[in-house]
Amino acid sequence: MAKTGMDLLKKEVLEPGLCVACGGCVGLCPHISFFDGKVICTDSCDLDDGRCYSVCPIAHQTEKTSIDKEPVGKCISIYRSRAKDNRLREKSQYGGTVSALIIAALEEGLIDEAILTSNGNGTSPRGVIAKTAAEVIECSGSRYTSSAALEAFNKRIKEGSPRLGVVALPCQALSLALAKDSQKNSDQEIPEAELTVGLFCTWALKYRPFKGFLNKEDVTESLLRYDIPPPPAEVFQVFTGHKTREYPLTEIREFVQTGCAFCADLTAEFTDISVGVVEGMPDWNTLIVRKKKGKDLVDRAVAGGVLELEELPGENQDHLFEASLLKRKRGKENWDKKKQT
Amino acid sequence: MHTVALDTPGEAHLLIGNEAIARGALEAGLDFSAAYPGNPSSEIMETLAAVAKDLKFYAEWSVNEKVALESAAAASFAGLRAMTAMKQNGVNVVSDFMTNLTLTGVKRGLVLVTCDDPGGISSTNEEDARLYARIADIPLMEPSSPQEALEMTRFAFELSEEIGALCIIRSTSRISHSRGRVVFGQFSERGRRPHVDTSVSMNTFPVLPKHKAALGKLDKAQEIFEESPFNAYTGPDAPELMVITCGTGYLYVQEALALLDLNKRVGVSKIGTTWPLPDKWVQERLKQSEKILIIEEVQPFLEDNVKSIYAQHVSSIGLKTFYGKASGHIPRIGELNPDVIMQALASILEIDVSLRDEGYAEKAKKVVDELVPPRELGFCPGCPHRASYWSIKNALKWDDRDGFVSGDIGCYTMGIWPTGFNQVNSVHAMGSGVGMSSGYGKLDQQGLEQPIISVVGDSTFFHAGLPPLVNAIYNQSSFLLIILDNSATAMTGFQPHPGTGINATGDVATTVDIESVCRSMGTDVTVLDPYDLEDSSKTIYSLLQQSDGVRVIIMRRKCALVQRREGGFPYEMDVKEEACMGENCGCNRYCTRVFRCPGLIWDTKAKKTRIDPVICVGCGVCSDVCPEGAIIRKEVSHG
Ligand SMILES: Cc1cc2nc3c(=O)[nH]c(=O)nc-3n(C[C@H](O)[C@H](O)[C@H](O)COP(=O)(O)OP(=O)(O)OC[C@H]3O[C@@H](n4cnc5c(N)ncnc54)[C@H](O)[C@@H]3O)c2cc1C
Ligand code: SF4
Ligand code: SF4
Ligand code: SF4
Ligand code: SF4
Repeated sequence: MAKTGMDLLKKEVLEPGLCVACGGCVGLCPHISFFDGKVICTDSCDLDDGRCYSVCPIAHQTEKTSIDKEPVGKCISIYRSRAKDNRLREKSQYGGTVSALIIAALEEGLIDEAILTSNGNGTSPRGVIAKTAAEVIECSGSRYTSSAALEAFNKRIKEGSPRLGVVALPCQALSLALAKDSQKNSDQEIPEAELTVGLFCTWALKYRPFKGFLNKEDVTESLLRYDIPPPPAEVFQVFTGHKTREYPLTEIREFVQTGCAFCADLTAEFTDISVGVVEGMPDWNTLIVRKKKGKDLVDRAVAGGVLELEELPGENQDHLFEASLLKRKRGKENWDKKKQT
Repeated sequence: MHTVALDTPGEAHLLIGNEAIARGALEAGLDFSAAYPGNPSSEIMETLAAVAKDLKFYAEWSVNEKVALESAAAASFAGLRAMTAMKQNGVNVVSDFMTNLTLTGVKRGLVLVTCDDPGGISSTNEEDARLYARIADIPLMEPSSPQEALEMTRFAFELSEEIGALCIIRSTSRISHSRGRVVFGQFSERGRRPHVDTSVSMNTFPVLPKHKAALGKLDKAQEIFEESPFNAYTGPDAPELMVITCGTGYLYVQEALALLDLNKRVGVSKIGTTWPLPDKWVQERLKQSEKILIIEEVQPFLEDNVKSIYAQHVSSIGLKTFYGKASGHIPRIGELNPDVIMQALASILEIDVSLRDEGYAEKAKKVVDELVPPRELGFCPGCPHRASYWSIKNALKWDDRDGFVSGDIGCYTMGIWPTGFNQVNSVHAMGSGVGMSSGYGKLDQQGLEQPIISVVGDSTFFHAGLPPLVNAIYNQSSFLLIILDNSATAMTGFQPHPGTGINATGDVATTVDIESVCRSMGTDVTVLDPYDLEDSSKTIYSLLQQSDGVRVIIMRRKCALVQRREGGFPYEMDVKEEACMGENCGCNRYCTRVFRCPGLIWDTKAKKTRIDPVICVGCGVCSDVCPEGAIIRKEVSHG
């Protein structure tokens, strides 16, 4: 039987530089760690089969993602949404939907803890645990560098398995889904997340070279959030506590994770709810409700007065589907190309 | 008091060769001794240092061999009998001074003992230091037994004084470390009062006349050697084969001849004075037989020199056939043994020898394999070097730019093996790791992107690490220097060094603080405790990210054996069986497979890790390696 352990993970994903630092394989064992923004194997584990390989979204991208099917995956309904609380919106990426929903889930007792991504405070953003509204708000805003946040999930599960909510990029959501699958035929526990909130994603950046770039630009403050305003702006914005800087997007693309080119999921299809931008309405989010659990949470958040829902304009929805299909196509083409070589 | 200090002439004692050498020096009335430790020579100075106070002479551990010979030469210039001892590599270090000292000569007996390590058993190389006698134009003698080691050393002082030149005694591991019966001689006068005669200038100028004078001294030595009792022939008047040998070769030849019952057919010329050779004596031996077999370890030193005498006198000696290294009968590498010599004898004399049973070696290996557990060369339990390399490995992996370690000489050389996680990439001479890093660290200008770490031990740092560090700082080279400070010259047996605060005879000495030395050169210094794996790994990583100049880390922890001697370790260790993941995904024996402290054992039946309470010293480090917190430490008080 083919060996599906760390050696294969190294060969297929890490050595060719395709790892997108989702963190799925991090925190499971002492051999793989996330250090200074990069996933590193410090030692060889020597086992023929391992969880690290089975949870890697890059290694299993083509097997699971609905490449040729629905543009945005399973879906009950699509809205535009935003947090009611102005102050929350101010700190958030767009409409603050994610933060509002996580706070609601914690407060309603649907989850005990949430796995979010820190702002790193001058170091690489990474997975953290949030239990209170303040801790959730502390993590608001998008850092576009990969954070291996699933490391925190894995570690927390190992420690005692409370009911966890996870804010996940599409690759992270896929990794969680893969973990659940592999759990079925393994005697080791890989418990699933109680709630998954997905983020739309086109690509993420490699932390180390991007940090090197910012250092050269003398940006040393905490990096709170990044944004890419809609075309034709072609700029990349970096928001720190003090000011906003803009760089030509072409300069930044150089730091995009190589592996993102093989990712065929824009909207995080393996989640309960997914959240993204609404083009032209920076104060709002696109909200995809996928599963019953997600619908319950949204209903409660609306009933509790923390979330506003509106219909997503048709034009925006068309645009989203188009973008999503484009990413599927691109990911598939790149895989096919890779397989040929 | 050590046996060697007993004033009991005529009495016999069991001494190892190195103790016999020390005794020989004492009998010669040694006034001054200086050495740098190195296997297989270290016991000479250790023995001398142990009796120096009682017998009122001076003994020191010097920072390196060159300084040791220089100090000893100064004592000789001041009218004292002086000696230095070293391993073969040390002779390389002293060679520059030695080839100059030849031209000035000496005032009082000055002897250099080199203990070579054929086979490189405890060395980084295999080298024959005898060649330096030719390079430096100084006499050389090679003992074949501890008794002869004593006598030759004693005589070397007389010879040195008689001809006014440094003399070399060359021993090898098997002579230095084998124990034999040694009959003591008389102690001669000691307690000379030093005085430097300022009316004579001790320098090498004018060079040519002084070189000529040095050769004259050699000629004189040769004359003396013609009559030396250290050269002897045994065997029939006209043997079928003449064996010419020296040092350990003589012992193996005797054994081989006895085993093959060849004493009536083969003659043995044993030469103790191997440079310059006793020309006439050798000619006579060559005339005795048609076939000549020359037996010695490592270089064909004796062989080439005998052949040179033969070539010069071939018309009077007649045609001979030579066997030895050039003919392929004697190996050019490694130690000799009776088997090798028996094979050579058998092939030359065309006799059959069945050395041993066909499958004997295999059968013996099988028996041994069952009795002896497999054991790799590795660091001791609790060794701070294992911990240091662990952190270096983590930092280099995290860094992920294919960084590497340029290594040096000491216990930590074992970093080239799994015990040091194969971290060390290169090892050469003392201090070379720093020198090479100085070079690597300049290659960034041509596009080298890999980070460089240089590791050097505390003793090696003082020995030969300072000049390359100065070079690196001066030339703005860029690398991370990690000084593995275990506060001992552990590899060679815990001799003190300038950083330890004590001297060879156990008195308090001025401590030369490595940290201040580095700081004074303008580098930043960070001191780490290697047992703190997390802090060490992270600090090494963060210093690797800087690329401006030489950065210094001192990883300071006493050698585990010293810590043990000084009161032991703080913990009693145990493994929580239910927490140990063993071979499962999530660990797979991280502690016994990767970290590999011998105090940890893998219970193959229970499939759990255990602590071996006999081997584990209780340093507690492995507790921080286990991902499950299964290895627990309990504080113990030492009563
Ligand atoms: C790398 C990345 C790429 C993205 N690309 C797109 C895109 O192409 N199109 C699009 O519509 N939306 C994209 N998003 C999502 C978008 O930026 C917002 O996160 C989303 O719209 C939710 O907005 P919000 O106001 O509700 O977020 P907030 O309420 O501010 O919450 C943001 C959440 O994002 C999490 N987060 C921050 N950084 C990371 C990270 N590096 N990795 C994982 N989680 C993180 C935080 O934990 C926080 O909970 C991307 C997000 C990331 C992190
Ligand atoms: S993509 Fe995720 S699972 Fe795959 S190697 Fe990288 S961190 Fe591990
Ligand atoms: S593009 Fe895909 S692989 Fe890359 S960060 Fe986004 S979800 Fe992960
Ligand atoms: S590292 Fe810990 S869990 Fe793994 S085998 Fe050793 S004791 Fe057991
Ligand atoms: S405590 Fe652990 S690392 Fe230290 S000696 Fe014992 S087994 Fe080895």
